[in-house]
Amino acid sequence: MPSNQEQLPLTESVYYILLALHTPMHGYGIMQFVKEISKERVTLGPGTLYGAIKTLQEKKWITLIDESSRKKEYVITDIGRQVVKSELQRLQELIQNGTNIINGGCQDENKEV
Amino acid sequence: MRIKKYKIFMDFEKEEAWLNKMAGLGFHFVEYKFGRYYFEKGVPGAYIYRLEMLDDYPTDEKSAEYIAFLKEQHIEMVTSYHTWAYFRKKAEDGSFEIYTDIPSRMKHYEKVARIFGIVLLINFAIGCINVNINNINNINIYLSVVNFLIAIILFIPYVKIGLKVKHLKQEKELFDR
Repeated sequence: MPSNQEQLPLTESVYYILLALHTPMHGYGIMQFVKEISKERVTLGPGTLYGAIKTLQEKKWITLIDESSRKKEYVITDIGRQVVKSELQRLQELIQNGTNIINGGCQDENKEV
Repeated sequence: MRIKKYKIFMDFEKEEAWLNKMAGLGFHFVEYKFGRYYFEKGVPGAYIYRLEMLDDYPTDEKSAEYIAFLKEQHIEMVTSYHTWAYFRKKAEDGSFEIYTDIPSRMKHYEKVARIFGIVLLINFAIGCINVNINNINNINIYLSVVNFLIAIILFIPYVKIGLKVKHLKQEKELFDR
């Protein structure tokens, strides 16, 4: 099995779907959650969401809770949690480096002055 | 009131745009039979229409599961034609797109291109066979002309979709969405 690092970066859609499924939800719930948490910036089309759910299930990052229920509810797995954690670390690195350089933290420039 | 319009589309996005234009005028698409579109009069702009090529026929189990998933999100399958599904959603519920990121849009285009490509090749191959069959009344020659014509008609949308996929691939190199 590939390490978490090799599976990154996640697409925005997948990242938010995995965040959403820290609480069990069905498809429509995921779509609503992502819309709200991103202040309507990220909308998940039903085709995109369905495809992502199928792939995430195959990868065992999420799992179906109750097979018999008419409305299918999903929840994140331990593997899924690990992946999101790695992604969060990666994003933090991006933010850290970006903040340092853009906000005048660039050391070479300081030396010149 | 029900009205009928005759039209043939090779480009599903143009077809979709036309159905939405008709919906804007208050004619809501309800049924399709080869080349014929049926509309019902209603409130202008009440629905947004989207077309999608499914993996299987809508009655197949896999497609039925997907259609049920869409239904939970208040999306209705108006009708279907082979594996093409015509979906609509009430415009008052907000925007409606089936695919919202580059990978899934690419996948859908590639699916459409694959089917066009297969039908194109089959017609080309049968056309070639028909050219080489000698018959007293030349019927095979006429048939081959029909085959080649179909192949040429399909070639244009095939190339167009290919260009769209190429464009999306370039976007994907820069953007993660």
